[in-house]
Amino acid sequence: MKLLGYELNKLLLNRKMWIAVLLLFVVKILLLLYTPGDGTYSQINKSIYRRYMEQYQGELTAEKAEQIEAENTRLNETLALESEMKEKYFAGEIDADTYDAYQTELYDAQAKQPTFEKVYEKYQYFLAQGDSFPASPQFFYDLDWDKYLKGMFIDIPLLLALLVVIAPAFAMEFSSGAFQILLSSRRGRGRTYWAKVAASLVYAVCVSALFFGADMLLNVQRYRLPGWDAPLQSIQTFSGCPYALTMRTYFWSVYLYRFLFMLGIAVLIVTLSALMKRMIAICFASAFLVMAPMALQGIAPVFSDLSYGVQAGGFEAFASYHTLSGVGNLVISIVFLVLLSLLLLFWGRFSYAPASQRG
Amino acid sequence: MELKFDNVCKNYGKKRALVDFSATLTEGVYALLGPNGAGKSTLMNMTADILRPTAGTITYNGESIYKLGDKFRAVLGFLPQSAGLYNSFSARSLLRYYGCLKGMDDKKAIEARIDELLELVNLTADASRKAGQYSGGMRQRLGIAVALLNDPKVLILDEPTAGLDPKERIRFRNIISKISFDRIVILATHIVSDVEYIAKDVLLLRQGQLIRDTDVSSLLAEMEGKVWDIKVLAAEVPSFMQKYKISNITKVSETEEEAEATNAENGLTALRVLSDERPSETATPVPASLEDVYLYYFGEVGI
Ligand SMILES: Nc1ncnc2c1ncn2[C@@H]1O[C@H](COP(=O)(O)OP(=O)(O)OP(=O)(O)O)[C@@H](O)[C@H]1O
Ligand SMILES: [Mg+2]
Repeated sequence: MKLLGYELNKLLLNRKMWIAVLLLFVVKILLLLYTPGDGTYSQINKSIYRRYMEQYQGELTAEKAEQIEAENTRLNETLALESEMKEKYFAGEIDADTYDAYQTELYDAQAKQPTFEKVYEKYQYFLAQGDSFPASPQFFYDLDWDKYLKGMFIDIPLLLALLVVIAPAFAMEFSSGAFQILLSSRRGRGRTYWAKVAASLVYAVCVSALFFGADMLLNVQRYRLPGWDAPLQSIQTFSGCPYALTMRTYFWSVYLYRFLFMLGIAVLIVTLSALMKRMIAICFASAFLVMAPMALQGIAPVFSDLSYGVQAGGFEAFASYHTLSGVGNLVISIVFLVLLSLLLLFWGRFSYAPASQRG
Repeated sequence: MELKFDNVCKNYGKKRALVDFSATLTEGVYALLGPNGAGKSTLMNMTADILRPTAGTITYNGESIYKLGDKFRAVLGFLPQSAGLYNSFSARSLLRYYGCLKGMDDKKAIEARIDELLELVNLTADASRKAGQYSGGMRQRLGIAVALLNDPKVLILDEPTAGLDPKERIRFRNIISKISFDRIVILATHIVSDVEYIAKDVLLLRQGQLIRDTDVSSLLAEMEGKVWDIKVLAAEVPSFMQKYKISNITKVSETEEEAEATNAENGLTALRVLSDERPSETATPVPASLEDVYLYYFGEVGI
């Protein structure tokens, strides 16, 4: 316990490191504030979509289904009439007032149609799934949700903040020459190893909480996110999720997942530190291990299951296109993460000081 | 108490850093002497379990130190050749940390021990300064305090006096001689005078081979008739240096007779020559010092 305190001390006493972490935090905030908006939904008009969603807000009832079908018919018919009305008008079969009224309606339909298509698609998705959902889906304005969740990716500034502080955990003992005294002390092996791992995790918990806290707060302010209590399956991307989760539960589990993932990364870094003993090697290895699967994903989409760059973003969980979505890859990923971390930890332990010298 | 080395070898790739080293150490100070690269640090690092031997065994009271593991480390104190200290720790908190690391949990006992050691290595006044602000010699002394912290039964000191001023060297020598009666101290050094009066045995290493393992007085006795004082003319010095190992050169303040015998520009120089035979008629045999022994074994003619 006392050793943990000393190891934390060693890890955090360096002032340069603090400045680096602070800078990374500033970068993170700036990224949150200035990531480019929109662009992805160019054919959809956000405010029209929002008005539809507010109109149909909540579960799909028979009444709402009728309204949606009626709106669909209205829009399609209005659009279909365009040339016919024009001919009639020029032929003098209808008067200017009627034509004007029609034109107003036409413009309205033209403006709404591409957006309504998205609404109608969603409606049909609700219908098609029928009773197979674990909870009845709801209409709510979900464009920002989609954007928010899809925008999640491994938190690079946080990754770096972990790297600059944790990578030296063992490496600095070897570079400063302190390891000789450490390794020749009674508690310098086993206990020190676990104390260093624990210190790294304590730091990782704190810094991840800080980064993710900021991430959460700023994003919730930046996006329009209604429907916290609606079931997750209301969004098409999550049609495969077998559990009755609300958006709120999902939101928290995504952050929990991202958080755990970062602890996993911290374990990876601290073990690499014990295994490789040299800063440069550790940085390269970490970067490689994080980047390589993403590069693979570029080559073939199959590898997306391996890509913890995306995984760490948290969005993968339950996404329908994911091979494991049926059983909830969130759970599998976490189990995998824990097992892998334990494996790494013991490997690091015995590489730092061989088994016969247990302490 | 017995620390036994049995045919210990260490190879770094093809390089043989230590070859078939065998010795049995009991309580007392063992001086490890040898030129740079002789394998002293290699031997010490293996004894501290920083390195593993390529072959051979090291046993403490009959059990392999590698099997003993933490039990051996509990009685071990080690000062590496280039010890790194945590620069942002003060001397006192550094010692507290190492106390914790060495398994000393009694808070009062450790504080008392720290005070005692700080006094012993003369760092009491600087105890609250950061180790990073220490001078080389101060860091070395702090390292010595760390090695002594757990009152080790086996104390390994790799060039402990490197960088110490003469006063501190004497202080160090006194500390070691005071504590060495009930523990094994292995001490590597290039400053032969550090160990001349405190070493029980001297181990001479050359290119990884143990060439002598004996006590100081017999080493000195063996040198009888091999150390000579000669006074020669300054002009003759180079030719002597070509022929013999010279352990010392001093200018002589001439007596009147000698001044008559030589001319004024060509003053007399006293040489301390190491040679199995009398180097010249005028040479007189003198008692050897450990430094002469060192040079006899490791010195080269013509330097
Ligand atoms: N890590 C290493 N890899 C390869 N060779 C090494 C290594 N460490 C030491 N050596 C070699 O082993 C030999 C013995 O080195 P060692 O450090 O034990 O010498 P030493 O007697 O302590 O010398 P010094 O008086 O300079 O401290 C040297 O030739 C050295 O070059
Ligand atoms: Mg050495």
